[in-house]
Formats: sequence, C-alpha cells, structure tokens
Amino acid sequence: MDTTQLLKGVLDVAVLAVLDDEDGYGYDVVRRLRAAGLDEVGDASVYGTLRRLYSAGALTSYVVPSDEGPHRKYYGINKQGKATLAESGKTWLAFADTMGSLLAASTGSEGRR
Amino acid sequence: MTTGTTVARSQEAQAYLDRVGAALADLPEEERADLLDELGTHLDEIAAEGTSSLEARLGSPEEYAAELRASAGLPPALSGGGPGARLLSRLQRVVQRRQVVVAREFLGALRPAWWVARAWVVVGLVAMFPGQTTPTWADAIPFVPRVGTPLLGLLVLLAAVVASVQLGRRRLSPRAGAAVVALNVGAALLLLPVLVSLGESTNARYV
Repeated sequence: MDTTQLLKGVLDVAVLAVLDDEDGYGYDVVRRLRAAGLDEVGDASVYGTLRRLYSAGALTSYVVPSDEGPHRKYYGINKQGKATLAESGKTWLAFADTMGSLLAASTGSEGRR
Repeated sequence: MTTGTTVARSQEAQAYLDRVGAALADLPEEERADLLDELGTHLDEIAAEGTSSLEARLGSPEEYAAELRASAGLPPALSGGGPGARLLSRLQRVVQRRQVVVAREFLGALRPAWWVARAWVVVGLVAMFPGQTTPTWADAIPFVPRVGTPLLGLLVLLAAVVASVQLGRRRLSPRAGAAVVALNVGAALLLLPVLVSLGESTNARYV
C-alpha cells in the first residue's frame, strides 16, 4: 500500500506532534518529519496542513527575522492544538493497536498452515 | 554582512513561484499573498541547497498548488488559473453569502407552488392552441383551461398537477435534471402569455 495514502489521514497528528516538541517553520517541520521516518511527506502537504491547523486555531504563528536570509514564519502549538493532539493521538494509537493485532493474527494463521 | 539585505531570488525559484501563483489565482488576494510569501522563502532555501532542480524536488508548480490546496482545505481550482477562474470563485462566494442563502431557502420553500403553476401553464397552453373553440378558458370553472370540455380540462389539469409534483419530488439523473430545467425555463417564459390569454378570455365573457 502506498504510504502517501496513509499519510493523508495522519499528517495533522504528525505535524502537531513535531511542533509539540519544539516550534518550527515550514521547511523545518518537513525536515523533522522526514528525519522521523516519514520520508514520503510532500512539502506542499506540510505547508498546507500548517496553514489549515493555524486557521483552525490549533497553532500560533510568529515571524522571526534571520541574519543569513529571509524572515521565517514559525509555528507553535497552543492549548487547543495540544488538546487535539492528545485526542487524535489516542485515536491513532488505538487504531494502530487494532491493526497490529489484526495483522499479527493473520500472519500467525498463515504460519500455521 | 548580509544583515538587512534580501537574498536575490534565483530565476528558477521566481519562475516556479509565478506558476504556483497563477494556479492559485482564484483565491482571495490576502490568502494567496500569504501562501506565496511562505513558499518564496521555502523555494529560496531549497534552491540554496542546490542538489536538484525545483521541479525534480517538488513536482510541477501546478501539482504543488493542487497539493497545497488539498492539504490546506482550500477549494480545488475551478478551471486552471486566470481571470476567468477568479470571476467564477467570486461568483461562488456571492452565492454562499448569508442573504443569498436565505433567499435561496425561501425560494426553495416555494417550490411546490411552482410545481402546480407549471402544470397549469402546460395545460393552459393546450387550451390556447388553435382548433380550440373560443373562448378557450372554461367559463364554468374559473382558471381551468378547457380541453375539449370544461370537465375534461379539470381532469387533465389535476393529472398534470400530480405528474408535475411527482416529478418535482423525484431525485433525477443529471441528464433528466437538465431536461426538467429546460421545461421549467419554458414554463416560466410562457406563464405570462397564458395569464394574458386567461385575462382576455375572461374579459370576453363579460363583453
């Protein structure tokens, strides 16, 4: 199965989790997601997700002037974002758990054959 | 040493940015400027890494714009970019405005009345056709077109109303829906002539 399909459903949680660690600007979030193992994540998807989460009131944003380049727009998680992260995170973990045992059961029965 | 200076944007980055901008032309100006501002910084940074071309790294500008829209929860482009798309999206926003929504709901509540009216127009047309003896409107029963006899006219009218209401309540395929729209436009255009004809024949009775 294509990982990009799976990513669509969990990018919100992934982005919130990354920002919960530390504030970051768009490309920084992209890099941290990739470093964490989500290497198929698209730049545009991350920027779009940041924007949507910001519009939904889950993130704060501020501009940081930079010496060696243009100003960067940083995003940080706020109280609402943390609540969303806690809730979605729980849902995601439960789902992953269910899938895990489902797949373990199916590969187990194959093994017995 | 670079403090306060803007890094000159590479030609490649500027061209990429322009094409994404064109693909987002229908968005409200403020939102578009915001997205492009952030993207500009992003492109400069990637260009500075210089490992591969922007298109190889990010896909085509149009794909980038589509992905950005989808993930940001923005409406997909209507038909590419350009002033046409901008106009269309402006129209769309007008249609979604509160007063317009209220007016549409009000008109929606009147739909059953229209179903009856259009049935009446269709039967009225039959009554107006040449070959009918004048006056074409039944004298005995007001507002009922004469189809052959006044009683037959009444029966035909009732049947037409039932058919029209049933048609209105049904969920139609796009093709049938288009046919019904055409029927509605026709009936709306003919409503006035049929009313005038009714007036004339009613007057005729009293002359």
